[in-house]
Amino acid sequence: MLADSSVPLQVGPPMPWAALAGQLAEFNPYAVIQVGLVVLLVTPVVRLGVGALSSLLKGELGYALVSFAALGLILVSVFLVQRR
Amino acid sequence: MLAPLVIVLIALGLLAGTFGALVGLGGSIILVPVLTLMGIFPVRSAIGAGLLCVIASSSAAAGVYVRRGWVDVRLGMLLELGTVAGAVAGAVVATLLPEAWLKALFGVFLLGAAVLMWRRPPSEAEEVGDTVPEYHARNYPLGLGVSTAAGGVSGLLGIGGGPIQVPLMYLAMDVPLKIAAATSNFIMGVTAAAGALLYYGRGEVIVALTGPLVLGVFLGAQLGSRLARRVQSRVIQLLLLVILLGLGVLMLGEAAGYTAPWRGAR
Repeated sequence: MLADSSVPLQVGPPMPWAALAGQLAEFNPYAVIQVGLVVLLVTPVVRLGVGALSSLLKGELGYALVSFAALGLILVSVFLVQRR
Repeated sequence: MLAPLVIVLIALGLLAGTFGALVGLGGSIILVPVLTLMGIFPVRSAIGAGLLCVIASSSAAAGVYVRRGWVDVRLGMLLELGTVAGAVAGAVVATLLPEAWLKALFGVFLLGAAVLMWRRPPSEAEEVGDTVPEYHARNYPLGLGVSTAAGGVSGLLGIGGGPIQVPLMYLAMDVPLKIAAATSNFIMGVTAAAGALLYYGRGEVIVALTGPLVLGVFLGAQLGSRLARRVQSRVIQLLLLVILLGLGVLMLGEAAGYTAPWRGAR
């Protein structure tokens, strides 16, 4: 029932990056939601990077290495999935 | 005006977020099967949405935990390496498996979680008080191994992995329960993000539907953590058990090709 309702929702994959800026300028609500979701997605990754850097600055090389490894794994996997 | 479906999704997120915070789960363990069974989301999009909801509920709880000093940041940093590796692997495997397999795996996971819930003794006594006892975490290699598996389940099924991480730290690594819960919440954000980024990159996150859901979960998680001390936990545990069992059976049914009666013909 819900899936059939004639709600004008843009149901589909996220907009490509190139289109996002233009849609934001036109105040497309879906572009705003998409930016919100991307911010949510990126926040923990930024936290991981900040943690890694602060361990490095404190001289805790082991912890820094572990966090940079996790960060590297995320970045490589994102890079590979974007290229497909 | 908001579309009716958007309101339904916010309400669903709110319910799952509140209930999740009451029982100490992220809420995605309920949301992903409900979304799949309602037929609004294809199963992989439901998993992607579930992971984003995990990030939202983990962020909602993080402030409280960090302020109380319950997060063991160093332990979290170490275990994160395992969960991130697992989450990336899980999110990749999810693309290789047919949808029916993902539904069946989720069904089995739900039934397994229900069994664990049934056997777990109530742990209310240990939650009282804000003081943190002295402890020394041990069994790091085991912790890292199990964390990798927990991350794999997270990336594959779209859940946070708390039901695996918390008992691991508490029972196998000698970490006090509230430290284990807070540290698991800390790890969960990064784990879910590692998986969710891949679902997003593959175009499986439906922005228009996931946005309202995430909003509901975030608000619900805040509400639930305030209600937590006022509600009788035995009733909630029993309710959770029934929900897990019901959803598990329905997911297995879906996987086997039976359609839920409210969905009509496919």
